[in-house]
Amino acid sequence: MKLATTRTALITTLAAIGAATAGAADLTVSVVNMETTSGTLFISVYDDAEAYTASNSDAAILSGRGKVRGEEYKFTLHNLEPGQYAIKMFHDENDNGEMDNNMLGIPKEGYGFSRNGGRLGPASWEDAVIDLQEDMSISIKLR
Amino acid sequence: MDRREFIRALIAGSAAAAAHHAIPFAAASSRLPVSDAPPDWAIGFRGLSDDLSLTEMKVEGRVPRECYGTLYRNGPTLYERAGERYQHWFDPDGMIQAFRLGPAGVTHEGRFVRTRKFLEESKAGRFLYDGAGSQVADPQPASNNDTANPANINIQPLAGELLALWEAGSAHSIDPATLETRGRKIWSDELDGVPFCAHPKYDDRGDLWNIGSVPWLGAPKLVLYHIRADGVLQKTKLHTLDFAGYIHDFVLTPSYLVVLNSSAVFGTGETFVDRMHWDPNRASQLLVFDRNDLSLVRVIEVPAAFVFHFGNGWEDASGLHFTACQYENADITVSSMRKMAQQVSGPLHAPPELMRYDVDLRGGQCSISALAVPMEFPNYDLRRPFNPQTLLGTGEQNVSESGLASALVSVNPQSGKFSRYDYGNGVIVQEPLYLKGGAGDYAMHAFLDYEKHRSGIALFRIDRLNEGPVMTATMDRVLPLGFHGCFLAA
Repeated sequence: MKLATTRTALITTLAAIGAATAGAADLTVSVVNMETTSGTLFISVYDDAEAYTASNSDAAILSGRGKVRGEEYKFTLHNLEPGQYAIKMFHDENDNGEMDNNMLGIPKEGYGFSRNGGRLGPASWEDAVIDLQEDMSISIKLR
Repeated sequence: MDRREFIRALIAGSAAAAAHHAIPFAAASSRLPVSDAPPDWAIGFRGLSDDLSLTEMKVEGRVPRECYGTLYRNGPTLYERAGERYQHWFDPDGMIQAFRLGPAGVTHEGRFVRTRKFLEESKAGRFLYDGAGSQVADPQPASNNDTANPANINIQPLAGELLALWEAGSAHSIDPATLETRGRKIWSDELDGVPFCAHPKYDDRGDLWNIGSVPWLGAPKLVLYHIRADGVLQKTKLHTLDFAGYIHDFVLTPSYLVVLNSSAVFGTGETFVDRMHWDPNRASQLLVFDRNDLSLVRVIEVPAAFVFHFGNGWEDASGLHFTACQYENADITVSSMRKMAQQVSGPLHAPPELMRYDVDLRGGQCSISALAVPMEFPNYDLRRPFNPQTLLGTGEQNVSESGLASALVSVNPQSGKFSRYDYGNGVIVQEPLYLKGGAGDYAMHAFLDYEKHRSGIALFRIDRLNEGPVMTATMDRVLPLGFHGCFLAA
């Protein structure tokens, strides 16, 4: 599988991992509702509920970052094997390299999950999981 | 790209923080029907959908020169979007009402607080987020507790601006002249979005003290604030509490902040309000914090208590003293405020009774005595915040047909002297404020005349409440019943 930006995407350093697989599908992701048109998106893609829930980035199939330069950030994950995936990301709006929290540990910067699930705080694997069987486009609305 | 470049620590760290981010508001929709024939008083919960432009009010009597100024009030106002109504009085978006009193008479205008929630939902044309006591259809995920901040409980001045206050999120800065919203008030980076309760207290130097209660995020927490009169944060401290009791207000004395950790304790439930469970077998706690360093110096158990609002606090050789408008249980929140917002009749809670707490700090004892006065919305003379003094409040909710207050009352917790003026059925009296006068002091309150479908304000001489108002100003507008406010002299 391969991860690359589309024509509409801006510079990204997201990783390219694996090789093309028969029956593989592309997942195009559009990230919207960003508070600012600058900063960096930190993105992790999981194919395992336990790793997703634990935010174990060693077990993420992809992690990477992309510079935000507009109201939308778009990227495509190429040649993913058919299966279940979930994405979590946050928007490092001030480019200090981390997600800023207040004294209670509540995020001060935007974050989002595939399928935009949950009510408040992190979406569960069940709320975020995508069943990818063919090429698909999704939108992640940062909260 | 090397996978070692992955943002392991960042994603893991941020998600770990978010993982403790519990959900104060709730899930699936289960809206209740609205009665076809609401009772007359229910127009006070009908709500408004637009700002209210400046209008002149009809004045009867005279506005004394010493009462020139502006009464600002805040309260839940926007009840409905796209045919969907909120189900709890806590939830509608706040509107700032300004009643300006001057030589030319009295004017009124109202403007919704432009919170993020209000702006997003105005654009969407529907409710997007669950409220504290309401669930909406197809709710959107919230980023944090400020996402659904309706800024609808109180408005208080600080350093030339007004603060529109909620209790589970940030204050919003309001322009006193235009009522325009300037944005969220962020006291510091680490306090960005931390709850700032709706009842800050001023000390005798004009410094502001407040609490922020966080019963919905893992271990229950309480944040204490000291903000100088010039609006600059002086100090803050985070405490972890023994249990997650509902906390709405507190008492400031010359040396202490006193917080009642109530016996309405957060557990499971669909909404924030549903999660509040009254436990009569659990002792409440008086938490006494030192103003110097905000440290906890005493925890005193008291019988199970539920209080929204306190009178002022004072100290003497025997210890510290304060008054509280105390309920038998938490029914007002979990039941009555729902019925009111849903505009349905039905038995309401037993009215709150004014109680006096006398706390012996050295012995760790507290005696509590009933003053036999039903009272809510207590207020006092802000020029003497630490003196025992006559309290103003609303009363007679125990006998009015609406179950809401029909009277203005005053009581002195030292002498027991009591005075009242009862409008009787047809009028709902709202929070009275204490105004400094020349020849004498005044009480001012807003009211709703639900028989004549008009709203107004009334001015009383505090020493002659029973003689009735010396001035009233009315208008045909029906303002939704609000909560709290302030008066700023011209």
